[in-house]
Amino acid sequence: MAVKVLAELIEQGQVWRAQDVPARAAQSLLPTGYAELDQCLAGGWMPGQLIELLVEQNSSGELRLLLPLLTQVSQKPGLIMWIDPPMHPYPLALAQAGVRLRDHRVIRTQSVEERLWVMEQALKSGCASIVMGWLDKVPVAALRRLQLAVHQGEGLAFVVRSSAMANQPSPASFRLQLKVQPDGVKVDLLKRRQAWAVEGPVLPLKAPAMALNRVINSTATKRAI
Amino acid sequence: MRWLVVYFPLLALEWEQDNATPRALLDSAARRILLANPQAEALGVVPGLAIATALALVPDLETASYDDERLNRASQTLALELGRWSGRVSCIDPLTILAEVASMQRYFKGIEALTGDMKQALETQRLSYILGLANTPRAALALARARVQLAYEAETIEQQISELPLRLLGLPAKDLDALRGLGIERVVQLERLPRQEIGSRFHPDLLKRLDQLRGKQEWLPPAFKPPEIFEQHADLQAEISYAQGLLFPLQRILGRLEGYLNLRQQHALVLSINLFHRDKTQSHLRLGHAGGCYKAQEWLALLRLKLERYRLTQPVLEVSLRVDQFRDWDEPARDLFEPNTTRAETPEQLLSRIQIRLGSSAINELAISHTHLPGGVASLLERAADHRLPYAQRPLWLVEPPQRLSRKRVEHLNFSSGPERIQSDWWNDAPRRDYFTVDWSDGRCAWVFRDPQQNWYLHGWFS
Repeated sequence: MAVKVLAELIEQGQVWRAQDVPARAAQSLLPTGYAELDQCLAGGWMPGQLIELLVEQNSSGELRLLLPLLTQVSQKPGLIMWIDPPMHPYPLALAQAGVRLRDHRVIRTQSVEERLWVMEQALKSGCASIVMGWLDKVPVAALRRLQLAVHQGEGLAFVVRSSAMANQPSPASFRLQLKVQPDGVKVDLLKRRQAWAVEGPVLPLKAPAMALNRVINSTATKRAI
Repeated sequence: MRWLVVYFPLLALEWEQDNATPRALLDSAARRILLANPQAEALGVVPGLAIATALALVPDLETASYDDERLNRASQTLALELGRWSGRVSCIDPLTILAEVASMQRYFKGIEALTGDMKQALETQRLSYILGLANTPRAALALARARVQLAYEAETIEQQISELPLRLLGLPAKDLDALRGLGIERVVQLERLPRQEIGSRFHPDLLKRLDQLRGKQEWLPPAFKPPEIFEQHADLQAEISYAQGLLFPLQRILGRLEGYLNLRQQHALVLSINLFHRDKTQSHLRLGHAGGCYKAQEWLALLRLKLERYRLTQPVLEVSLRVDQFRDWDEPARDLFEPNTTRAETPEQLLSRIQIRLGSSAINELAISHTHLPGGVASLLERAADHRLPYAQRPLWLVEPPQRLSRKRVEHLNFSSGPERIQSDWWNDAPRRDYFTVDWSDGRCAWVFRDPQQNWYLHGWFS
């Protein structure tokens, strides 16, 4: 009976079905820069969706994870917003990695309310390509607002939160848990769109190797010149 | 109470004047005083006085002659402004404006708050006004004309209406004389007479007026239609040579804009402001709001922000403000599922809003020359940029201020590269530091340094 009623409603166009929405073109996904992770995400980061990164402590690889994306996206105009990062992003290191710094803005707020407000404004605006916000204990309703805002603005939205929040339900479309291990950072997908949770790849964390003596030598050479 | 009448008895005299000095309006022959402002009246200049006498009393009396067109313009502008407090405004005559106030009472949380807000706005313009409040337009008009003390309680207002003199109802002089002959001068006295008697003895208008007063019969002047284009000028009384000085005249215009937009149920998206300079040149300012807005306060905040960074090239004599783009209130800002690229905000709009709410120090750029760190450290890190060593990696995060490492921690440091000496200019007596890359025990990669006193600090993370 219920099915029949539903069928009627659909025929009358009174029910909106997700499948009727034109599928997002694959090219709007942005590669993460890590082939295995791209596979888990069906192609890459999805704009217009809230993506949650859960970390045990700050600098657990979240920036390394996003670095290829930042490099790629920063080549085109569009704001890249850092909202209350726990430390200072080091411009020189970002520039070394090929990130263009022109459109980056670091926002410092005084309260959780302000932080959520700025995130919502930035996500809604449609002029920010990437919005990264560091949040901890916020009500689920606040995350839902952010999810709605990013849906409107169509940008890429990352919220970095503590792993302790992994058990709390979240309206985010993607939830990635980052765990530091001796061989790198393990990225597990706790939640993804239209698919099961999956254990993800281990991404390298170490700075590229640089021999001690080479650094010393080159400093010496420079001095000599 | 549904209707408010605002009566501006001295509008012809006071419009766009500073009204601090004695001023009088002359009749068409320029012989007698038609109107005088309170300052002039206090010195003995009263309507009907000959100009020569008036000038003898007050030698520096400012005089003006009656200008119909100017008065109409003033009246239209005030009708726009009253749109801030009402969705329906009518000009009964150039000095009298009727506004429906019941529908916006809830928004202002009560009629007293609404009239309070209105009074405040009118007083900044230094205009004399009298308010009349009642349940019918006719009664509100008569109360304003009678200059009755404004009351809010229904009973008091009914009482005030009963006490109204009949001559304020706009009746034919013949009827008025006849009534006066019978000793009937107030509404209440007339109402005590049998209706049939009144109907047969006097002009039919008398009963009609009486019914309009009490709401038994409808009377409603046509609604004021705001013009299609909003463009307002302000002549400045003194030249303005600094940008912030423009706020005051523009604030007035923004108040009228709010009324205009409220009457038309629209938001303004883009305002364009023209500044007319002494040397006949013009400057142009554009002010945009992402989603559109009708509130004068919000536009004023944006304007203030804009003017803070604006330098006037020349003193300004006149300003004008025009709305370039509108949006209807009920028009959705964007479609639910349609990716919207057309009405995205510009970065400037977004950042200006953030700046308004959080203050300008909340927004920092990322640049190699600007590391928003304390002076000494900043120059040190800029120095680090100078090395341009292809393999001297920098950490993605800086720990600021650097964290002192315990002796125990230092003993177990697992170096992977370094040292790299970074020292700012020696003549500055700046710190010298040897930096190392370290594999932290949990697998992360850290940036640490040793100062000349052999103390170790954590200064950054590579992840």
